Amino acid sequence: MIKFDKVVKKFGSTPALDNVDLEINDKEFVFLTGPTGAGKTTFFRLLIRDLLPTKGKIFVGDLDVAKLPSHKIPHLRKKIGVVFQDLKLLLDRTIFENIALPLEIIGKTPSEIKRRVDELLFLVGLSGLGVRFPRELSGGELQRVTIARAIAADPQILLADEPTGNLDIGTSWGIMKLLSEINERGTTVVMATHNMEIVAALKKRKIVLDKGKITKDEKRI
Amino acid sequence: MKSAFNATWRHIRRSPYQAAAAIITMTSTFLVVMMFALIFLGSTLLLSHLESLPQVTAFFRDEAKQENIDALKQQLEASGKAASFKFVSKDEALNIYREQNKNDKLLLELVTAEILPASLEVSALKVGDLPELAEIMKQSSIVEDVVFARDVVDKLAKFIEGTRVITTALAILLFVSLVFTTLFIISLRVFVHKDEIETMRLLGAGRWKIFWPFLLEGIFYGVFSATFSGIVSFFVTPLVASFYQDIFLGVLTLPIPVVVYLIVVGSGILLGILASFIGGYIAVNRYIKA
Ligand SMILES: Nc1ncnc2c1ncn2[C@@H]1O[C@H](COP(=O)(O)OP(=O)(O)O)[C@@H](O)[C@H]1O
Ligand SMILES: [Mg+2]
Repeated sequence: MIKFDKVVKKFGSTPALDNVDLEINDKEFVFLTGPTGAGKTTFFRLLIRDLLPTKGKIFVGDLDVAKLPSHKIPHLRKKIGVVFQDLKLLLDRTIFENIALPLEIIGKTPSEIKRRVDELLFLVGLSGLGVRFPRELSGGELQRVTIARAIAADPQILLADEPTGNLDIGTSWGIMKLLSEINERGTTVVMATHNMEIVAALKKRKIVLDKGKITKDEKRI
Repeated sequence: MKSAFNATWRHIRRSPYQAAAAIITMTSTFLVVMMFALIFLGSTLLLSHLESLPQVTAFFRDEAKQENIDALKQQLEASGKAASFKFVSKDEALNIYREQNKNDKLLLELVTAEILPASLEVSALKVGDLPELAEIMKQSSIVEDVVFARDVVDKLAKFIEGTRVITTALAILLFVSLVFTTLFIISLRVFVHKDEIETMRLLGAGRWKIFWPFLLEGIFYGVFSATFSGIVSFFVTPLVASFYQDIFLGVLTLPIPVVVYLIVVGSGILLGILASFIGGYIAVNRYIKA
């Protein structure tokens, strides 16, 4: 599903990712860990062609990401749902409208959108909060909103960039339960985190990045 | 398309002051451009009318025969510079004289057809060509005298030329200013929504999906401002025009047909759409990374 082939990404002269080789299979759940600055976010940004690799090849399904002509980028991005580290919610739109964005983009009708968003709000435990604006929700609730938005258009891959980043432990477990459920429904999930407690508790594959290099890749399944 | 309309409407509704400022700025620019265009068109019509007015008149000797006169007329026509001819025979001249002086018996008795000369009044396509036509007339042996007010003609020619240069320059300047105003406003609107654009892109929205709401917004401002200023200038231009005429032209009226208004408003709308398109495209592209 995802393949990195000797990928190097440099910002200036220092590499954020250094000779990364890895393969992630369909329907896998993978933790991407490592300290801040290890290159986790860069890894995700490369996958959705928000950045271009300095060297190497990246494949998502049968798409050669770096070679993709720019008019095909939307096609790639529709395959991948992302929970951004900085959320990227639109503050002047309601929760409902935020979750509806990917559905609007793929051209769903208003009634289809309504049905799907209600379903998603229920799934992430936010039923009834659709009319609120982002500033009226807690951090944990906002994380759920971005998860709902990320999976709205049924992507094959879900990338979650530190979705429990600044949440208390109880709320974090709620998020983990949700991501596991999404994975069980058949979505490939890659989650970046440096919360080792969570990584240890879930028996999943763990890839450790340090200064842009893969230092460990433990398959636990 | 419908969702683009919704997005446009949301942009406008959620920042009404900016939208109002955009509309006011564009409307006032449009208003000036339109009034100028109208006065420009009106005075062009008027000036070309005026240009054909000044005449040079040849008074014929008594012995001039009709065929000689016709020959002269043909010669003038052949120059390609004459706009119109008016031949006044001795009898017609007398009639005109009588009409003009019908209240004065003494003057009427003094004059017979014999002493009034026949004449040919010629107007030129271009004022500047009148001296040349006068020269042709003077060289004819049947012509007694040639009369034309050279000073008036020269001054009028200069005035017409000057007016054209100035109005053309101003019209171009205002046109450019209108395009830049639209560009600026749309860029501002795009800038305000740059986070939204980035997010939409990352969620997989295509270029056009993002572009449409801004384009529609620009088109909305363009159409609204053009129509509104069109209506206003329909009422205001005649006032300005009459002021303009009073200074320069006295009795003549500035003829602006309704069709001209429609053309000006129509081109204003097209211009608004075009400027919005260019402005929107440039602005959106600046915030979309390839
Ligand atoms: N846009 C950028 N410009 C320059 N350096 C960057 C940029 N993005 C990331 N970096 C650098 O690349 C390295 C990896 O960053 P990042 O992928 O964000 O790490 P993580 O998400 O694991 O915390 C860091 O040293 C960071 O400073
Ligand atoms: Mg990061």
